[in-house]
Amino acid sequence: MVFRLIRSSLVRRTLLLVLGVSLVVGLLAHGIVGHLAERFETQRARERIQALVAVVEPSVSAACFVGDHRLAEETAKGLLSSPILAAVEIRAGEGVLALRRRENWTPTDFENIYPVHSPFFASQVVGEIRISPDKQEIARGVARYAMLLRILVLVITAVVGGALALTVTRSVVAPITLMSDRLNALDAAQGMRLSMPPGHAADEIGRLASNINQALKAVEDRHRLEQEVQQAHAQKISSLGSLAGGVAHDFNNMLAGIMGHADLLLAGEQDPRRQKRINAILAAAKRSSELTSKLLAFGRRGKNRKESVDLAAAVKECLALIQPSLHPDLEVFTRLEDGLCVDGDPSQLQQVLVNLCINAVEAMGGKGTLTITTRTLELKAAQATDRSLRPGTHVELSIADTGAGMNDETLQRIFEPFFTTKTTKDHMGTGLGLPTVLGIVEGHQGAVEVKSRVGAGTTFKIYLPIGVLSPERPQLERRTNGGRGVILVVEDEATLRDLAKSALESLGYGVETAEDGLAGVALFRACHPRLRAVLLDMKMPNMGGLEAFGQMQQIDASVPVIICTGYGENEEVQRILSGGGAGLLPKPYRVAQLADALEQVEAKV
Amino acid sequence: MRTLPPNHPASVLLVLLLSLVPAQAGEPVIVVHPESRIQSLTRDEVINIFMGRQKRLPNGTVAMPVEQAQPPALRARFYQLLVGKDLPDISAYWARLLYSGQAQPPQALTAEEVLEVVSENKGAIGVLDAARVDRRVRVVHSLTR
Repeated sequence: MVFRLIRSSLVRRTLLLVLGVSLVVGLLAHGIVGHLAERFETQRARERIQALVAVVEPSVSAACFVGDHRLAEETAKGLLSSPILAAVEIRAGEGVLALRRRENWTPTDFENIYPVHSPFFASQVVGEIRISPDKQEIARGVARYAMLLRILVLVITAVVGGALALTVTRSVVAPITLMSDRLNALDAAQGMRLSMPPGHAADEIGRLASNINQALKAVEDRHRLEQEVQQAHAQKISSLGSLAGGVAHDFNNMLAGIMGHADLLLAGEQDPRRQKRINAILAAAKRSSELTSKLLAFGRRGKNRKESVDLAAAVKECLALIQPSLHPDLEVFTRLEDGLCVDGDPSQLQQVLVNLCINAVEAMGGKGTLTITTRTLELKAAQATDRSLRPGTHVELSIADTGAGMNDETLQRIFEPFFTTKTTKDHMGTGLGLPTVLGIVEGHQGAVEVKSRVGAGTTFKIYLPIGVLSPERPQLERRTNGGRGVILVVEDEATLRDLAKSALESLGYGVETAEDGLAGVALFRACHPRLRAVLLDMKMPNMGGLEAFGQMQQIDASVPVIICTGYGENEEVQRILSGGGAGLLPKPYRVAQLADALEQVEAKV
Repeated sequence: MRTLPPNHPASVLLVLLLSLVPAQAGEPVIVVHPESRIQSLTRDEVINIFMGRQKRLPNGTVAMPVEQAQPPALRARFYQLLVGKDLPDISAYWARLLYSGQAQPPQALTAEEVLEVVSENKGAIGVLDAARVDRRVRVVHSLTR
């Protein structure tokens, strides 16, 4: 913890360094200062003793000359009043004139001996003063002086260290912190450039800022290039999606005709051989319809429903679905957060899961580990923008395999429609699996992220906005009453119009038809009291489904309107459904599906 | 030759100038009782007796040093010749010794009193201007010789 704190801050490291240097200097100074203090104090004591001797020398000289004990005693007593002396002896010739000492003084050789000259003749020595300094007092002086020196060293070290730390902080750390703050606040939109820290244009800090700017420019260029490539790719995918969606719509209409008429034929056919052939036509049309559903999903027009989908439950359902095709050597590992829901079409989200899981299983060739995890993720502005998402709480669904992986070239093309690597007899791909996944996920305001390495496996991460809808949704009871009343069919395709008419009549309804929105509204105005429901196509000449619906609602809102479209639940359909539309019947539909839709509408009324 | 009248300013100035010239100091000599067995003293013996170091004369008699205090020039000359010190130094020396009371400086007297004291005490020893020496005393040391 402390180590991490120190490592994370240059200021803390500098202060620690200064502290360390101060400590070392302090320790070195401790020894040197002790030695210096002793020398200084000893010299000082010697000088003080010499000064004292110089003061008393005339008196001692006189005392020694005449042999005056009393004067010598008084002088020795006076000398001993100085705290640095422990004992004083005054000698004249061979005899001792006076000896004064402290109580704690133990007789030792006198360290300091000063000759006493005659009061009248300097060359004549008449005695001597012997002095023993008080070593304890000198030691106390040494200690005091050493303490003073140590405090001085400490203060100097602290001042020098503080100045050093301040200098380092101001000249190095402050500009770096400034640059760091500016780097943090850089906004790509404002041009990612650091301004030079003031006063550092020509030094290392300035060069660092300049180098960072160069690196930023390189990053910016690369980012721009990547964005351009991504945009081009997205545009390509989008164009393909539009194309696929358009083709699917027209194809759906044709399929609706084929299936409807085949249904009608089947209803009136008694010959088993013909029934078999008609069923074959219906099966082929159904498979074709599945293909167009995928194309629609890729074209992002296939979002039919929006309800709360429990991801954990969806994953379990998907695993149960693919379980029969799993090899015994294949391990499946899941870590799913409970209660994670997204808003969307359950069947489409199931399709995403199934597609990705089947791809993963096939990539592993029967051996490996399939890992599926879900978690919530809070995406901030920058993270969300990188993934083309809106900021906020998202759900991350990760599906990882330990299979063969993909090279960069393959990775670049996986979302292109009809691009496939499944060319074996067992696994023949349509090239619509991943484009469908992308279409569905993006249709749910989500994003797909892929990471893959050859030989190591592939991980798909799906990001979807967290669900806000309530998970409960009341289920309608279905009734199986026969049809009665009149149904208005507004459809521009004559085949489909006729088919709907035939189908409705076969169900027992009376039918009115109109070839576009304008005619439909006119007819609605004329006969709305008799109408049980309206089957309204969306894309029509003269007046589209949305406008026609609006006018019908104004005329009589009590007549249920069922939207009948090959585009799935797009924006216009959503508006109608939320504005009072009774239901949605996706094209192509079977007669039974038409009956179900009408029954549900009647049940609501 | 012309003589100046006494009240002439030049005469007054000359008298004043002559009065400022100090009278020549006498020759200090050391004298003892004429009957003393001491014939002569060395300079060191004189120093020891007059500076308080020696309390007895060489003949064993307790010494009683006295000195002619007037004129002061004689006394100053005596100490200058004896130990090479000025009177303030000598006064300071005796001030230190007087503090303990162990030694006394020589008694300061007039020339006549010196003559009387020395002539009446066999232990007395005095400093006297050579010009004042008479039969009552005997010279045992001359500092100028």
